[in-house]
Amino acid sequence: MVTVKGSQPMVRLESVVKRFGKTTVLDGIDFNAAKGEFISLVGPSGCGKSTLLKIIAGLHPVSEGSATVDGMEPKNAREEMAFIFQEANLLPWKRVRGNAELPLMMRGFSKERRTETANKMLELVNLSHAVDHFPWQLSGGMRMRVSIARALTLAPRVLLLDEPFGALDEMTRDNLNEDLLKIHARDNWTAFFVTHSAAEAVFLSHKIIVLSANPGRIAQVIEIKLPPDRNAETRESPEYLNYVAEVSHAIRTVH
Amino acid sequence: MSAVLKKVQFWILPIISGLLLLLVWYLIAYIYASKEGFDVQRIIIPFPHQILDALISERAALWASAMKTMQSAVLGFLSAVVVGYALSMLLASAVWVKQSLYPWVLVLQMTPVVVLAPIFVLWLGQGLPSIIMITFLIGFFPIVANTTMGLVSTDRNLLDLFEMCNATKSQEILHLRVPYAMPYFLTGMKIAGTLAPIGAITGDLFAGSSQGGVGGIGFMVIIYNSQLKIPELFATAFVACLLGFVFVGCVNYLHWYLLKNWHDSVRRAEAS
Repeated sequence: MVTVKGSQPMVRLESVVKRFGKTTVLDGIDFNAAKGEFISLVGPSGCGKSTLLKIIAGLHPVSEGSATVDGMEPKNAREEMAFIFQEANLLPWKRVRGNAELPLMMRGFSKERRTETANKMLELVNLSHAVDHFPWQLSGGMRMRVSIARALTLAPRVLLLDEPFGALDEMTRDNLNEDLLKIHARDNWTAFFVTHSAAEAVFLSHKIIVLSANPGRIAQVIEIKLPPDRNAETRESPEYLNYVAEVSHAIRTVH
Repeated sequence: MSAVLKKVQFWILPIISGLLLLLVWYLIAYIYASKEGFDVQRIIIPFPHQILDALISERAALWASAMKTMQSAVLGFLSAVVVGYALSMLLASAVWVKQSLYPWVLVLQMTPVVVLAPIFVLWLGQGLPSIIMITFLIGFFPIVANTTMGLVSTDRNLLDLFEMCNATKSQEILHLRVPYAMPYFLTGMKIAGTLAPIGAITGDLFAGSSQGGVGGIGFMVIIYNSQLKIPELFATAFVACLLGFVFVGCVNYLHWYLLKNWHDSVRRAEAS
């Protein structure tokens, strides 16, 4: 069993097992994630990446073992977390600003405070010009930016991203990856990022966890020692390309 | 095809087919009259201009009847909307509630209204309350069936999003389930809107009266039929049809107005 240990764990998973009925989806998952760490989860389809993310979010209970976020049960640590889904998951009847304000509205913030914070976050993701648009008026990339802005409104300490850019074209995805890193450098949240793309995982992460399937177990942990200020040029560097080859090989050969 | 040609087609084709239909009608009425005489023809298949004459001469009575039927239709429809929506919320609140109550809603729907109508007359008497009850029963089921479906089929990811936001149950209902179910509810309303004037006229047939000096359209049908005023009967059918269009038009406008900004069904229809 491979264990990922970091100092001052923000997220701690100990011997986590998850079963759906008689099927074991995850088995013996142990890891700690430190504050500010960017961790990607990769592996074959059905290896339980999204399930693991939902366990951390408190959306799925564990069958055995324990999961804590900032020392609390995940359900009690929701104030600390935000989840970015595979689809942008916007409410089609609300305008962009209304969507970005949603978490603040649910927590009873005043209208002024909500508007001010949502405007700031939308500016951060370059959507100030589209605050009054409805989701159908936006491109896929813009919708995902709204989803990111919405997740950031409560200044989370843990950000969970479930393959958020999987449906986007390569150029949009690359741009969003760069923006995400800039925001991470500013806010320093702990991130768990599910992806199928080795290149994306290498570009974004400090650590990449490779999961095996049936049941999902941690097969390998790859530390990415690229400089923190990554940009378009990083993608052409030999170190980056070597890491991408290593991760691709790990995903291909994992059982 | 150019946009202008499309518009011309949209207006011209129904007008041409309508004129052809009038022509065929005249032809049949004329053949019938030449065999049986014009007096018999008038009470079996009147000429369209005789119906128009009846419409003009009876306009005051027909207008008053139409208003009375409209009143019954609106009240019955609104009762169906309010009670249907409330019941849907209840049915969607828990699986056991739906399992307990939905079969009885189906039983009510499967029992023909024409069988229940005399019972309502017995209980509520002739007049408005019975007619509203009959209209309500006809429109109630489509609203319940559609709205319940909308309320229980909320996207799983959106429910997860609300859970991540620590939304309370009432916030989830108010800000997610209710708006998500809106297109379903409005579809139910559209079906109920089509049925409401029919329900009000059916109610008139069973429970109509000339209380207040005027009866509804169904009541006029009975009167004109008993007096063999067949052109007036056709004129009444024309008014009933018009009433249906006005009613459905209002409901369709509401559907469009509430969904125009965001729902695919309206935006696609406008784009095509």
